[in-house]
Amino acid sequence: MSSQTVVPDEAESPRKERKIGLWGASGSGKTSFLAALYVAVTENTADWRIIGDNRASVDFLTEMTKSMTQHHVFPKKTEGIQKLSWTMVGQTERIVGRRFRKKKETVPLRFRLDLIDAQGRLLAGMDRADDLNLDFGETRAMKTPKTEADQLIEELAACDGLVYLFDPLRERSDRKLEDGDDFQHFQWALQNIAHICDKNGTFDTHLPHYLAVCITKLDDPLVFRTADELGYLTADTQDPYLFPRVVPGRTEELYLKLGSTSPTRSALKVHDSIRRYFHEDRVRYFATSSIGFYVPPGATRFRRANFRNVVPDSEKSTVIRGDIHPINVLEPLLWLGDVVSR
Amino acid sequence: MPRYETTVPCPVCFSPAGALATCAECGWPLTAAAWPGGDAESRERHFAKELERAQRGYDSVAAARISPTDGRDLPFIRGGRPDEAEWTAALRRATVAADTLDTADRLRETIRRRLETRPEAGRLSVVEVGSRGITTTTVVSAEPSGMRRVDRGPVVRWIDLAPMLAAESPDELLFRLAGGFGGVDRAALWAELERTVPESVAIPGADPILVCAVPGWPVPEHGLEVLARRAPDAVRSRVVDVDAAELVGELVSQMNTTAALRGRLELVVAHVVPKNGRIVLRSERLFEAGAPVGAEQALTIRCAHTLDDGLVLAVVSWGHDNTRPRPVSIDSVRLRPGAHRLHAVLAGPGRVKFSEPAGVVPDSRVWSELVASLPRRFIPPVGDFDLICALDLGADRFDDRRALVSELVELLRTEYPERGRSRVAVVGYRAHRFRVGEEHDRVVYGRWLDTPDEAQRSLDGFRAFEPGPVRAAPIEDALHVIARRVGRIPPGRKVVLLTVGARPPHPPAEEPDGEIPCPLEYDWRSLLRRIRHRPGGLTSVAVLDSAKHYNFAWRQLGKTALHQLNLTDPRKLATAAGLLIPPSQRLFFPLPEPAE
Repeated sequence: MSSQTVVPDEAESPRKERKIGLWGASGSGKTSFLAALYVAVTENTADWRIIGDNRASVDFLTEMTKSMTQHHVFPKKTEGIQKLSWTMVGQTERIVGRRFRKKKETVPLRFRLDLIDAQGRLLAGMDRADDLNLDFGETRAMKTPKTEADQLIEELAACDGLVYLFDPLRERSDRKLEDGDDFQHFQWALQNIAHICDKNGTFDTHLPHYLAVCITKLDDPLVFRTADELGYLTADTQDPYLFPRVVPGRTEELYLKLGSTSPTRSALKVHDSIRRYFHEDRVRYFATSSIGFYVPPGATRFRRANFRNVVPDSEKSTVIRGDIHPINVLEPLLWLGDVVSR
Repeated sequence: MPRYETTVPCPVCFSPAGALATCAECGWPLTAAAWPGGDAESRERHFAKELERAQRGYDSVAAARISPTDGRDLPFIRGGRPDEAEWTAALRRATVAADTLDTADRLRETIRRRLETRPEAGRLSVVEVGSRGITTTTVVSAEPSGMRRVDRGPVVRWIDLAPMLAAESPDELLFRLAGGFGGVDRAALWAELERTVPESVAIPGADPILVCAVPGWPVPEHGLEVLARRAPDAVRSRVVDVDAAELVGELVSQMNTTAALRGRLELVVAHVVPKNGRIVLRSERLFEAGAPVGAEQALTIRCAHTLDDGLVLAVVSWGHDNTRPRPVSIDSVRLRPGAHRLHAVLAGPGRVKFSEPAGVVPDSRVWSELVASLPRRFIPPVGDFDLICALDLGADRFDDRRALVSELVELLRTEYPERGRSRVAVVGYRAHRFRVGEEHDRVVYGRWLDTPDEAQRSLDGFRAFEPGPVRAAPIEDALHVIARRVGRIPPGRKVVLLTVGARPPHPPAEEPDGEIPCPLEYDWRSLLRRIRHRPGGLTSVAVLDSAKHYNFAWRQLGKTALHQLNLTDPRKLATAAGLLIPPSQRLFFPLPEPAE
């Protein structure tokens, strides 16, 4: 992984510390995404390291990674808000020199990732569902105790970059019935973030944030088949397993295709909101998979015939079938880390 | 009292009186002028006494016709028991003139002459009018074999012909038939017989022989008259103490034994049309026309199936037009499937006796019934076979599945007890576990082809297991085991693959239906194809727990037949697999066996 042409800001100062927020509906895979981060960093061919900034972050990464790689089970759903922070240390290439003396140069890159992992229900504003006192701006200004959702919104609004996880299978499952649809969840959070930014004066025509929209669960047969049938899949020749990836520049189209075939099509409304509220050049789409594709024992390459890495364990639960090979888990963070560090 | 009174009948003989001064039949004076003199009381007494005497005399004749010895005591005689003179007179009047009677020999000769002079394919009916009713016995000439057959018709009872004759006892009915009309209006009775006799008595053929077995009895004699008017050229005969039907039977039997064979006799055999397997009946020559009694013929036939009612040995002759066979005799014999030598002896014209094989007995089934129940297509007999049972060991309904297979194995063992005739393989499959290090665990257990007893032991050793949440089962692993071994089965043996399960196989690769692929990537389609293409072919039968998992895979596994677990049984399965031929599809005629 490299940050391409972005010249890193090597000056380490508190002013330059950036925050990246993780955002997604309940069950969209936020915790799994974080848990896969360590494996993603390890497997990445570029020379990257991740260092926990506090004990909670270290423990989180250790526990979640152990759960997924050794016990082959998915992490439990997040309860409340977890504030986690790591420092990413690696290298990137930069272009130095002037007009006729330009050249690429490898330089160290170091930036912080402050990730907020929150229970999906909080992001949908559902902790107020049974609160009969309607929440108006005036009452909030009167020092009413903040709810967890309020805290979360403030945390998200304070981020420089956001990772939005879109689960293309969520609308096809029964979970939507209890947690609301994607658009309901997204719109609630977006409006609140916009409200805070507007108060802060950081909202001009659009929100100031960079946004990485991550389509999760690329390893699922439905998502994989959709991308495959559209001809969007390719493989990174640097990848020893030759795992399939979505062709750069086609991920947004895949998002639209998956959104158009979902029962509620709320993903399309989310897409419209993204275009309306974020600068176009600050949004990038990624097709990701926290656990990646299954590689049978003895196999050295991805096998199209047998790639499913999630299998049922009982009528209601699933387990991870084999080793995890995260796809595009690190890349959105590196991209955000890079762009917000400029 | 007369029952159907239109005019006042004669009080003595019940004949219609009309305006006559005396009865035309019995001479009884019918007017008061016949009783002059004296006072009214004495005239009346005298009349009553005379009437009683006349009635007794009239009824005594009927009683004498029934029995010259015991008739005198019959209680139906009006006026009481006749005295000696009266009875003597009655006996005299009841006697039929000897010159009007035939003897049994004369009647037999008459029938013989008529039979010998009849046209070749004709029929002769002998109608006997007796005390029980009217019986028609028809002799049918089964040409050209020369054999004759006797068809004895039912007795048409007098009481059915004329219900007005109904009496309180059989003896009273006889009394009425013999002329003691007991109040029955004679005119009405004759009219009834004129109507009912032609309707009820069929006389096959032309120019019958009419026999009155109770000469002089008014009612039967009148019935004979009615029949005679219907067949004016009929020969009439009146005989005493002769059972005409029995006489005809004896005569025909005698003639059949001594007559020469006039046409060829053939044995009915079944031929199978190779193109479509349809069964057509043909016949193999047994005896040519003119063959002497005692001639012998040997031929080899094949019994195709085990038959509960035996193999039918039907001998037929052919008519002049050679288009329709006529059954001469139908026998049957219980034989094991296979070739058998048949030895036939011409015991008489149209009478073939099979001296070999042993145990040939007459068959009661009629020809038309046999032809109607002949199966349309020939199902080849079950030869040596191997049954391969793939059984889902999943706990859901495992006991039912195992019981079905076990009962099927037991049924086949009973049906085919010969050693080596059937072999059974049992292949039980569990479920793939998609966990690290467990994916390649063994999932197939069982025993390859062995005796049914060993297969039963293996079945007993199977244990159920919890199938888990995966919707597919490793049928493909079982097929892999089978495909590796099925090639060793000799091509001549029939192979039946029976799959009994609940879940479909894992696909070989990720498929749109969402089932997890087989971890070993076995392809059930290609494995099944490989098994199916063995030399000798494959019969594939499947039993599915329920329609829940019914899909393309099960249609392929049950390509020959697909049953549902709670709607099938071992016999249905065996029949569907072609291991048991249902009785209705078994060929009960012999197949011709080429001469060695």
